[in-house]
Amino acid sequence: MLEMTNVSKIFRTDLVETHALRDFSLRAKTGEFLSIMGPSGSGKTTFLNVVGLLDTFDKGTYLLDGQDVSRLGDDEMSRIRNRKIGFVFQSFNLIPDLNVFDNVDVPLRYRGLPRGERKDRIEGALALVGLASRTRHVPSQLSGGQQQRVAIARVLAGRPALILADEPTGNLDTATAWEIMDLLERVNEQGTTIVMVTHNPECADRALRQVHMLDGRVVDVDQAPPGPPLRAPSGTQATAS
Amino acid sequence: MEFGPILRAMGRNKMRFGLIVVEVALTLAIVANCVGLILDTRRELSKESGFDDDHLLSVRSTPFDKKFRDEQYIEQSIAQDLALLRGLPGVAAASNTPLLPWQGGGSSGTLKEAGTQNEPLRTQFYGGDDGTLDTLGVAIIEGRNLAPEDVQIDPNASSFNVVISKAYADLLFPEGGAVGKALQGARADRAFRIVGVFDKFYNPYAWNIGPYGLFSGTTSGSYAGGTHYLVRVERGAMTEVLKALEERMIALDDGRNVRVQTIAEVKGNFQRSMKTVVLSLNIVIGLLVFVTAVGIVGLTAFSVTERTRQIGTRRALGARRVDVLRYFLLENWILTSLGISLGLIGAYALNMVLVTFVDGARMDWRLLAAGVAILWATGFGAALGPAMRATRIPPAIATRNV
Amino acid sequence: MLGYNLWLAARSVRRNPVLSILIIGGIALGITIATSFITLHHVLAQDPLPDRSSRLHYVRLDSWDPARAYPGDAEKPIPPHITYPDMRGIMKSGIPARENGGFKANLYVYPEKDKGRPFRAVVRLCFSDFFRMFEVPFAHGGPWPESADEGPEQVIVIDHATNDTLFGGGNSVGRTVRLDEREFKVVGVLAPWRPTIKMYDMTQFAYQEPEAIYMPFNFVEPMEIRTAGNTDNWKANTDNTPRGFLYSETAWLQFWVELEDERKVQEYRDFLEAYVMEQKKLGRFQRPLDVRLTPLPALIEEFQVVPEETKGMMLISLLFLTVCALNLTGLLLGKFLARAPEVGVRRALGASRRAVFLQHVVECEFIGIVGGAIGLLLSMGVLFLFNKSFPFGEVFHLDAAMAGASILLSLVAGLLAGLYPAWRVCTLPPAAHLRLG
Repeated sequence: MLEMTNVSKIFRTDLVETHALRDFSLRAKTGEFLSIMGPSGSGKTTFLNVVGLLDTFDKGTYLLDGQDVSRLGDDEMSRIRNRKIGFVFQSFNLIPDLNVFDNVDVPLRYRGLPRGERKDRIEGALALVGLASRTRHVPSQLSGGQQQRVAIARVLAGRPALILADEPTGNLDTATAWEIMDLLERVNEQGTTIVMVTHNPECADRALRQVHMLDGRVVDVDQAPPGPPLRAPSGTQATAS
Repeated sequence: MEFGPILRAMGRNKMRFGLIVVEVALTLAIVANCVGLILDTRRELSKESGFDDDHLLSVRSTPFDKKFRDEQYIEQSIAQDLALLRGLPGVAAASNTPLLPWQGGGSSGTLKEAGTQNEPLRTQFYGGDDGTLDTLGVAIIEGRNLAPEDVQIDPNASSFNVVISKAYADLLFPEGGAVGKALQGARADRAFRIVGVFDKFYNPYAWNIGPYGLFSGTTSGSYAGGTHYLVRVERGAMTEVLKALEERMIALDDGRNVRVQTIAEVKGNFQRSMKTVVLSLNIVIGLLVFVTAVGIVGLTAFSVTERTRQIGTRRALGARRVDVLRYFLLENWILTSLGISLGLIGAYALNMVLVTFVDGARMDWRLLAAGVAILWATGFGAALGPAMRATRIPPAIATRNV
Repeated sequence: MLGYNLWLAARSVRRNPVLSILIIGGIALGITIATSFITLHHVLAQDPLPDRSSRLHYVRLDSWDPARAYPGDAEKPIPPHITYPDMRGIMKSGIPARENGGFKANLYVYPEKDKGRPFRAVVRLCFSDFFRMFEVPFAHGGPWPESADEGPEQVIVIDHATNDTLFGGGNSVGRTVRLDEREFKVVGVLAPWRPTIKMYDMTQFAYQEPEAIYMPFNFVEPMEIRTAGNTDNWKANTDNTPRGFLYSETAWLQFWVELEDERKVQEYRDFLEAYVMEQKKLGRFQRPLDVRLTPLPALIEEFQVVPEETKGMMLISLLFLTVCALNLTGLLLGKFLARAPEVGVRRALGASRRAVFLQHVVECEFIGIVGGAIGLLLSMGVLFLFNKSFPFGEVFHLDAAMAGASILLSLVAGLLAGLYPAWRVCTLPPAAHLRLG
């Protein structure tokens, strides 16, 4: 699915050069659920920006879905983000002026899908995350968990090959966090590759493979033990709304 | 492309967007009405006398010597003055007539065809001589010009030969055939015989009689009222004639003062206020459009700053730069257009108030179209800068956490 | 607290100079345009004699052609002047407190020997009452006595500029001036006087300067003085002598009466109607009875003295100011909300919502005052240009009342424009902008 080889990203100011990524190499297979862990400043966000084509990098190569995306123009990068990648952000990044339906619609608009298809996809995605009845609400009328579910619906409606999740549970309480993780797992089980950046070990544990980063490099890779993933302790399981 | 979501998003920022809409609406209302006033005034300013204004001079002789109380002396003086004026180098023609073009008035009277019961019709009415039409630079189109022997000295004569302007001839005789007809005024015992019709005449006057003119063959001058001459100079000779004129006239007869004024100056004075009004209105329009443009730039810039994060998000979700540009321009276009639609109503409303105290300032669709075009262009130009800035917001903003 | 808020406002203005120039410049422009055009209208339309204008009545009588009405677009047309015989007929009724008839003429003034060529001066022929009726200010001397009207005595009043030309200024009462062939004794010298509207004679251009010299009306016959004003005649004149003109049906005199109250007005109207009915018996006044007794303010209105554009331009200038205020609201909204984190800190440090609101309102008023002051200065420039380019003379000045009004206007504009942004910024939840990444 994705293959990064010796990718480097350097931020320069007049005084200092910061190597946010140094010869970073990583592969993820289709259908994999990968988590990236590391302390603050380890280069997680830069990695996410590069892997999500939100930012360019200085050296190395990056193949996404078999396509070399190392040196693309801005418009081409936008196109790939739109068609192949879905983002789940820590602070949800819903557009506050738009209602739930219109928020899920945003990436589909940029893809130029016909009206009917967009409507089917949006309603389908919202049903999957259990928010079919909230289409006319605006983000400020929803709880954090609901907002993140809208964000996931926005991803699902786009049917991306790769989902990038950036601390998806960082702004949520524990019970809601587990719900969101369950949702991501279900999506992963459908065959969508997920790369999740987090510094929460419990969340990271739910991925099949954990990559540890420090100073812009991969320092360790854990293969999760085979068997069922960990479950939340009983009693904190939230009821689905 | 995305009207629905844009409109729904606007609904949630009514105040901010409402400001642009109301500002654009008021601006359109004001601009359309100012342009209306400007066009009305310009129409007035663009009226031409039909005379050779740029080469005309008014010469006014005001006597103080008692000898001018004698009418015969005045007659003799007029003849001398005309001989002097016509003989001056650079003078093309001169005439003894009280008409002072562009003064904003003159003298008038009502006349009808002699012997009929027709309603008397008002015309400007001046004495003139064989040189009057030549001096003004207008031409006879029917009949003949006044001849030297047409010029009467006795103001109580029973018959005068006159030439009239085409506009007045058409007013009196819509069927044509003015030449040869006789006119009469209040006194039935005095006739004005039309010997010729001349082509052009316009001198601003109350009662809308600007285009109606009549020159009656008489000398005009008196001790109390002075004597007035019109002089046409040759091309390029104005300075030279102006310099010599007053001195030569006084040298000829120093029992009087002589005042010389170019018709261009008289016309300038007459039109000065109108020109100031036009200039003021133009400045108001310019400043207003500028202020509105600043307002649109300010509000758009503010709305870009405030939405930095969502622009980043849109970019992350696949919006290209051009999509972002289009989003803001479209949003702005919708706002400007809403403002314009509101402004059209406002323009009519303001116009209804204005016509109650300004004559003729009627709204017409071309003014509105001009106003609409100006505002669309202003809105587009003003939004372009902030919208370009929005396209430079990087998509990586989306992964930055607050 | 006000001092602190002002200090904050000044700091805020300095912090973003470009934005501040746009904000203050916008309101300054609005105030400039509004002040200039309001002053234009205010000066041109102001009552020339606020204390007594309603007591001064202009007399018109419809002595026009039996066959047709006086020409013009007026709804009920009437000649703007009265005839000489009618003025003689209605004077000395004893009803008005004061009365004056008159006209303007051009007469030659002969300076003393070797002091230059004779020159033409604009002269008003009037009665002794004229000066008090129209509050004409004197520098030296005063009006001639009423007794000088009869006779008439060879006395004149000269204006300030003529006094300078003829005598080099100073108290010239008692000196003589030659007009045409007669010597006149100066009894009064006017102080500089330039009423905006020449209210006693608005039949030509109403913003003309007053005349240079004033002399008793009754010289009109002996000196055969012709009017330099408008004359209207409908009946052919068989006698072309000056005397023939005087006793013709030509209307050419302005006639004013001062009537203290409604009762006097009614009494005078009855008198005029009786006069016209009497004349009808003599074969004159063959039109329907029409006697007009018009108070000065109404006459200014009826003669459409105030150029119609000025009212329109005043309206437009106020709308312009409104646009500037809306603009200010938009810019302040952006400016204040961009400051939300700072406000959050202030709120966290104990500033009440009211304090934050006041801080921002003070900033708006600060902007309003500064913009207003700049606008006031600019409008003085505009009025200077008006003086140069309109044919009304140097009549446009910013008086204290107008200056006060425009400062008030700028405060109101600042307040109205700033209320919403200030309210928005003070209702922001304090915590919303304190979360740090």
